[in-house]
Amino acid sequence: MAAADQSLDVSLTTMAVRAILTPQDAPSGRAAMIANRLGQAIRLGLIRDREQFPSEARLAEQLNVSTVTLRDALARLREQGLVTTRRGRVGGTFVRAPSDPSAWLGQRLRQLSTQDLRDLGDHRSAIAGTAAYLAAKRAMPDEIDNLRRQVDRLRRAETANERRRADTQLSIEIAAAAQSPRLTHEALRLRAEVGDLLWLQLDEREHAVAVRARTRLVATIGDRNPSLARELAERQVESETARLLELRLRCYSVADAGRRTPRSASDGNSRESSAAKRRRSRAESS
Amino acid sequence: MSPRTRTASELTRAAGELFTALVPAFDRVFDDLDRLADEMRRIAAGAPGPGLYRDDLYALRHLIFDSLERHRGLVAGTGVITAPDLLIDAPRWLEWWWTKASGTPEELRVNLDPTAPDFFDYATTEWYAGPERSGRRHVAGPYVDYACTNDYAVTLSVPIRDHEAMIGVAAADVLVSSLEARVLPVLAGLARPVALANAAGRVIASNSARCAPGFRVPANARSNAVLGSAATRERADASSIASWVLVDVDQR
Repeated sequence: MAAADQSLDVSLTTMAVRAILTPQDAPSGRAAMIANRLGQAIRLGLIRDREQFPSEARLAEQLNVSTVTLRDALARLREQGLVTTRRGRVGGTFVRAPSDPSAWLGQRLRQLSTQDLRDLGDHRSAIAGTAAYLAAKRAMPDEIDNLRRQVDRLRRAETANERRRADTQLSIEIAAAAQSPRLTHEALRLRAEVGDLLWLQLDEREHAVAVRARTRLVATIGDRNPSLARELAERQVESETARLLELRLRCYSVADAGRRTPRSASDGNSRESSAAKRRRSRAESS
Repeated sequence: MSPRTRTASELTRAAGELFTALVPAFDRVFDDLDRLADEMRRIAAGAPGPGLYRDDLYALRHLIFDSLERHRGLVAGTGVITAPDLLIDAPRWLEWWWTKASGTPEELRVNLDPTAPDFFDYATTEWYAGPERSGRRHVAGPYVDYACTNDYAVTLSVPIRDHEAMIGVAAADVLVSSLEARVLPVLAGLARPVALANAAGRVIASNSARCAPGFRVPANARSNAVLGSAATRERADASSIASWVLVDVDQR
């Protein structure tokens, strides 16, 4: 009895809880996280436009969440216009990919602070750098040939979509050549998080620069020079991060200029108020 | 006997022991793959009219589930992969199941649309192209299997031919961590640092902390023994892991 009373005053430290749970396990953030990840998958084309989602029960099982959480997540996606739900005999939830991805990307970029972007860059640099380092140590000739083929594919790619696909595949194959399932998984996850932003307003000259940098990286992995491979991979992420930061900073100056015109001011207000409305309605319902 | 000869004979003995420890387990998995391949050939031969549909492959499932059950703890996933353009309603298809943490079989879902960012281009993988080329049992890897188990694995595969035409492969994934449980008891008894590696020199398991799975064996390794040379010629020829090597990884 006494022991039970004492335990009421005992709790795990915040750091211990964080170490035990991954961020997405936090109960309030789980639906948001699922909605976010589903949204990323739709925008990356991993779930195609007009594709039908499985039943709620099946999708909840596949994503390993409760149906309640899934329903909440789908409601958020519906609000963002990324899915529609039809009733009736041919009913179900269907994907509606954004018609103008660059408009959406700009919006997405505005949701990230420069601090967020810098930190994301740090994380990517750690993963890409180590993957390149270990690939240079461990990759076999056939794996290096495969990396060369991926770079060729990137070089030949013409549309933004093809380039995104080829470059995503290359970064995953480098991590796989490092023989690390964890790094491979992390490379894939980070790509899903940042991938589409990297192709925002990328012009031909920048594409050529990216292809040259990746050609050199793969050649260095082939030369078995781990330290240089790490350095090159880190430098690539650094320059990509710098580019994203520049684009982000440009949003601030555009927004400042726009604030002087009534139209964009009201746009900004309506966005804010709808977010505030959602917060309010959630607070009321709980 | 010089220390060098002693090392070599110790390696050869250990290679023989490993061969004896691993080959029966691999052979049993390969026997199941042969059964799957036979069934697939039977289905293909019996298809009425223009050809095969995905639904025709449902008949393979009981063999797949039996195999997962029989090799629980060794085989993480297994199934049949069709040759491109074999099926009428799917240019590419995998009838592939893997065991979830809960122990129940789960169907593998991969993107088989060549225009998708995560297109799974299996016809170019070593476990598909290898047996297609050689016409024989094949062991690919170890490699990071990010399409299915998201783990470090080797894939055992056999080609399925209908007369001369390639109609697919039957394959099974074995996690490197489950192989290790069979390999390290043999290597642990050796005094020297020794690694089991595939023919290309990639480490599968080692009794030395300096040479973990996934490493390349050092180019200046002292000596090695090919697993197959430790067995009788007849058995070595039949085995796909005969080319695996046991390497003394001590670096002078």
